[in-house]
Amino acid sequence: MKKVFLLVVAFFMAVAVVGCNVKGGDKDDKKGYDYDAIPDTMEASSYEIAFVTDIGQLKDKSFNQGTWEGLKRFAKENNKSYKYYQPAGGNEATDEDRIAAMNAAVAGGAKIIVCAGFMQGNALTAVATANPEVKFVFVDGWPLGLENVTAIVFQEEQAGYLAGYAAVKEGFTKLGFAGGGGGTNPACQRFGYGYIQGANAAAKELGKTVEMKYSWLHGASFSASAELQTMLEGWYSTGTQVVFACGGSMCTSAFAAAGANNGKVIGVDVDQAGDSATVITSAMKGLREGTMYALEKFYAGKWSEISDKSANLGVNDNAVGLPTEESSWGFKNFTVEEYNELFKKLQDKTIVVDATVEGAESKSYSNVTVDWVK
Amino acid sequence: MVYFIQQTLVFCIPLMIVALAGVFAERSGIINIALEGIMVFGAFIGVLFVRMFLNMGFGPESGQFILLVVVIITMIFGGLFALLLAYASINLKADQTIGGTALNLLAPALVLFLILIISQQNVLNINSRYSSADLFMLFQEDFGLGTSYENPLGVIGNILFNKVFLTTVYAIVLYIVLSIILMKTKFGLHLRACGEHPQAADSLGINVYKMRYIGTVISGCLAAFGGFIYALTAAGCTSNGDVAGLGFLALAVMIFGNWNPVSIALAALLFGALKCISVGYPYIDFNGDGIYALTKLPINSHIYRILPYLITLVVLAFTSKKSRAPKAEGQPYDKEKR
Amino acid sequence: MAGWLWFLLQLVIIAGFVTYLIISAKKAKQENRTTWFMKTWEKDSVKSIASSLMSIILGLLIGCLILFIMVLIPTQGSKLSMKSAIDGIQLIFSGIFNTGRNANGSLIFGFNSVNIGDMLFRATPLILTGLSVAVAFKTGLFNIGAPGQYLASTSVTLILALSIPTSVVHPIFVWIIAFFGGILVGALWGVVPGIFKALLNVNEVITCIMMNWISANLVTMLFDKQIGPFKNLLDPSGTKNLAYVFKTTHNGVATPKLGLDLIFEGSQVNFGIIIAIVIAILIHIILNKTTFGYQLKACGSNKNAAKYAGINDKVCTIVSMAIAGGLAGAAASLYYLAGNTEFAWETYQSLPAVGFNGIPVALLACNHPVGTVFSAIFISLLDVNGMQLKYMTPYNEYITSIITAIIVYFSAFSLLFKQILNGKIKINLKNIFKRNSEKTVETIEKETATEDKKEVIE
Repeated sequence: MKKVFLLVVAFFMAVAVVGCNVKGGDKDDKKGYDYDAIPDTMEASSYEIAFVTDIGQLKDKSFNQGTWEGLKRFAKENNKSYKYYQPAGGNEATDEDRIAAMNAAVAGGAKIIVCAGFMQGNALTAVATANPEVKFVFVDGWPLGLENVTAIVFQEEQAGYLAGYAAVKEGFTKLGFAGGGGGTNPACQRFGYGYIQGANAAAKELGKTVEMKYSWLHGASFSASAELQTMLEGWYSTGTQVVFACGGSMCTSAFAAAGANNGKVIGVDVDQAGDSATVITSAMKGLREGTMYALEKFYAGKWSEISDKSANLGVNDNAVGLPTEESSWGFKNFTVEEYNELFKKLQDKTIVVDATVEGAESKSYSNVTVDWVK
Repeated sequence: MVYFIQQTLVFCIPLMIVALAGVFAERSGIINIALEGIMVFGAFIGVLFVRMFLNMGFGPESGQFILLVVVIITMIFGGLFALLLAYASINLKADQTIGGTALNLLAPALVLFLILIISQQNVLNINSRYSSADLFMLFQEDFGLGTSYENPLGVIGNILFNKVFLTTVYAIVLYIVLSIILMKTKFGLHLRACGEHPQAADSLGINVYKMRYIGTVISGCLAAFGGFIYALTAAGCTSNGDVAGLGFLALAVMIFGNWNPVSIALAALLFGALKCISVGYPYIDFNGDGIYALTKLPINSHIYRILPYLITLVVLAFTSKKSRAPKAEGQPYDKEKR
Repeated sequence: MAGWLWFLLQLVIIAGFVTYLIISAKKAKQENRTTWFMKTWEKDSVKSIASSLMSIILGLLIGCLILFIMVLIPTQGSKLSMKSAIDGIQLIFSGIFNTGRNANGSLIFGFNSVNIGDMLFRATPLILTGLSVAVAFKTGLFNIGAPGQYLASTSVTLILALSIPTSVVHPIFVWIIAFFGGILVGALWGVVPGIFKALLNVNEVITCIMMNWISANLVTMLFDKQIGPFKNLLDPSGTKNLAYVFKTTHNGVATPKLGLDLIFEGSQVNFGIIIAIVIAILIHIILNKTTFGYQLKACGSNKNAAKYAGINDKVCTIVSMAIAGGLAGAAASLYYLAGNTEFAWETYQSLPAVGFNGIPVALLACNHPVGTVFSAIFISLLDVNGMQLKYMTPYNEYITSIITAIIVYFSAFSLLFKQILNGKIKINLKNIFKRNSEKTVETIEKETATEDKKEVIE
């Protein structure tokens, strides 16, 4: 009995020791602003800036994390207290769970609450109506007709377009798209549809035809899975060269499948080049910047400028695009100059990317044959 | 074909080794329903130590060395974790189902808690730009077979010498060795006796408590190893407190295989193949003629995903008349009650 | 400081009550008479409850210990202060009564109608999945298939509640049809493992696991937004975008609140909790007061003896699994008929946690039907306290999961606690790590065993 007891104690101590050793130096190869250095939790008697997460984890390497990092950075630089609230029920969170989380944030002393994800709409309407003195930022949302709510939405189709164009210009002819949210997340749909259009445009210029596998399978909860990895292994082993992994923690499966087959991955939302050597580029949207923009307006006393409006951020706001730093630029044939040229064309609207996703799956494209994997 | 076999192995190997883990516990008389929890824990420990070695400055050049060391460490920790079950069910004579369920609850919570402390994330990754493939996967050039797309040894060569993790080899060797120990040696006989008729075993001078401890600890080692294999081959060497219900499936495979190593290997292979077909059917080219026959069938992907489970049920209905669990499993053994 | 006082007051009351009991018992012993307390104490069931409580308290204490350890280890780049650990402990024990913080930043406690109501709401499905597991356990079966039964019932409940036009049929009848439809499908899903077990000798665990995943994939297929036959039930509004099935209120069907919303203002609780409790009592009566229940239990305790007594064990197995499935189905029906819950239909990759949570609920209640009501409410209470911990302090949500697991782990030792209570094991700190103490445990168990045998003979 004594032996067993000692063994168990020793075992937990070993875990603790290893844990302490492993700590520190997280992502030291990532350059730029070190967001991880700002703690996720802080002690305060009340929390001024609150974040209510979308489904998926806080640290999903994309949507939640991007928004949260912008919020943390703003709070840190302006010395405000901050806290995140994850609705109960995980990926099956209901409107009631979101309302409870938002109410907790209000009770916790929040002056402004950032709510990420289009699914928060109903809960936001309820809570924002009941608490007119608290301000709300609806990321990936739309104006709700309430004075204390502002919406930030991105033109993801432009980022997708840039990524698709770049991939085909680089010389890839077999592309893939693995999206999250089961084809019900508007942001992911816009990314994907823009990606097809970009690939189509580049293929037309080069006079080639491009094959694309397009799937929403195994990504409903935005998480990595063995099934997703098996599917992507299938894609890569049947010739797919690059896959756009569009959604949160799903990228882990894509990295694994790409690593085993010498394939490439396009990241999403934030620059993921630091996460895997297989990432050639990332279709970014300025979640951090967008969040900080709204918070700045609020704290500068300029809420009325954005009140009940939707900031539709795109190339003209430098809110979407591909990372052009040398360390993140994985292309060899497609140059940064070409990219900048294309970016300008998008800015001055010489090229307009279609953002209406309804019916996108029944259209046909001149130079892209899309294989809808269902 | 290469894709089919390799992806079958992705599902089959962890199922097989974890099912054997279940056999060792149950044959010694302890129901180990905590396989899932131990797998979760093993996956965590494995990834944690890989991460630690990489932080210490090891790189892809010493990948195979790290892998072997991590496998051994993972097994040791898995055995220690299983002691919680062994102690509760052997010394305290607690209900084994309750003890196992408690471990199943404890493992994900503890693991997520530790992950958050260690990495500020909900997922523990290896914190490196190298993927698990860069670090641990062996390609044909590593075997000196050239870098051309076509493997000089054909399909078989492609399966055996391209894109393999050595854990697969370790697992198969371990499986064979332990199966022989269990079924053919005196030690194995003693262990099995403790699960069938502990009173008789005791009267022959076998220490039932000791045997049950050994069975449970081996079970923990193997289950943790299985968890690490899953993390390595199917989750890109990350751990997030979840192994997608594989532990419970392994329990099912163990029962499917009638507590017998040979049948279990076959059952795991069948289930792995079905699982691979259910997900990857559009990319399986059985005879290499470039035609993906399974896409021609008039069934949708939902039906394909149901098939592994449905077929297992049908096979069970026809084969399990003689299925029989170890007689004394689940019963705490009390020396005085002979 | 108000929070502290509240917490101390609780401790003082409990400590005072226990001291009173002990002192009065000692006095009574000296005077050779018995108090009401001693009489109740002699009952076996009381001791079972007491041993469960002991494991709960031990689990909670270890949880507090973890909070303190986290103060010592810097987490997430910041070091926590002692105050947050103390706040955390208060919330673990009484978070449900937390009503926020006052101007000084200390916790205030009082009647929190939302928390208590939501606790009851979340306990409703847990009671029923717990019962489902417990009934199967009583017949010697392990129903690990509750998640599948739950999912199957969810889909059918929603299909019925949303498809039957309320303009033709009164909403109450739609509710009843959907409720019983859900139960029926749950029972159907449960009866398959039962039949496999009884007629084909297939272990129910394996069949249950297969049925779980079949159910998960089948439900996704039914609601698939492209090819699903019931895709018209998906909510196309902007915030749902076809990812969820409509709430049943879309068709005007919802469980009535019957005044519970007045008591627990602002919470989600509804009449479902009463239905769940009534079902638990019914199951208790069936199991303990009817011949049929006796037969089921007889099959569970000794199959051969049951056969000898003329009980058809095959029928018992099938019926027991059907009841278990029906109960898990009822859990889903009540949860989704509440009308405030939308269902995310893409379930093919994960099983609902509430199904698996039925296992600890049943185990904590020692498989006693009425006990499941309390253990479900307790686990739901822990959840609510955990939410409070997460929202009010810098701690994260996994602490409560760890505490639940530790409590279940200790509840496995309830036999040991019971013996300690019986005074058969003297806790001697000096001997606790010595080998010979184990021997005493064994001899004592031998004594208990012989006593048990005597009782059986009598």
